Amino acid sequence: MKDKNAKTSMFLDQFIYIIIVTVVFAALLFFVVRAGSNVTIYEQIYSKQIGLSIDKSKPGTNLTFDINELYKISKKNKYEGGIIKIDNVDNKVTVTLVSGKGYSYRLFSDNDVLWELDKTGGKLHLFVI
Amino acid sequence: MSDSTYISPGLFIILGIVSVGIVLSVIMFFSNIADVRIEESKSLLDRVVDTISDNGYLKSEIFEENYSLIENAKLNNNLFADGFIYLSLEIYKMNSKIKEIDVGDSDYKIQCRLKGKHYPRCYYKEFILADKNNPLEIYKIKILTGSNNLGSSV
Repeated sequence: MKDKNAKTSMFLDQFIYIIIVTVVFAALLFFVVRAGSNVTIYEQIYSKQIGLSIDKSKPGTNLTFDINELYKISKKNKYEGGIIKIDNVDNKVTVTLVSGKGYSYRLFSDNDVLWELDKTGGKLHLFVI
Repeated sequence: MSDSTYISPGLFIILGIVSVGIVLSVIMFFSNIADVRIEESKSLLDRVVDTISDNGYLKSEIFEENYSLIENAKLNNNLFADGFIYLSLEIYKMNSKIKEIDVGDSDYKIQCRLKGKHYPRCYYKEFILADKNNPLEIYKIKILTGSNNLGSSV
């Protein structure tokens, strides 16, 4: 009887151990995945990538960006507005993937930029003047 | 509980250490992933070099009294005025400074030497350019650019 109780207790210990470890690692995995798919990260990365490319470009440069990923994220967040805006007055690039939010990156270049969003092809076309 | 071989205070300590390590690593990774200040400083410096030089020669117009580097390099003056970027250009001839252009918050000259998350990331370059009309005349150019432009949520 004593032996059976000890065995049951050991199995219970093992079970609780597995549950605790599984819960902790599941929580960590959830945290890592969520941090990696954070909308703000995408907004930051794309606004800065586009901004730096414009800053680095000389007048007459044509640039094309693949922004399919941004369209996917905005669709997931049910955002139908313009996802990218390049402001030639304030010299900044704004990327918005969720309604009411967004991320702006200011440019050091004062060159004007002609830009067009190709929603079907998932491309952003730029021409630095 | 104390007799348990599986569940012990040690287990929670190990899980705690592993969890904190992973969380901190992820936070540090994603907070640095979009820090492009050093790239911006390099691009700004390249823009200045392209503006003042022409095939290895120093453009003579830089010595004109009303020369504006901001206008010639087509730079956004507001970003300098708001203290987000900085630019310092010094031209030396025979070890004596003959021209200096300083745009933005000059405190960057000190801050660029400091290490820390809140201090700007800077880029410095020293090179030689010749006079176009008299190639034997050599100018030493020193350029320092800095950026603390992190972008902002709207």
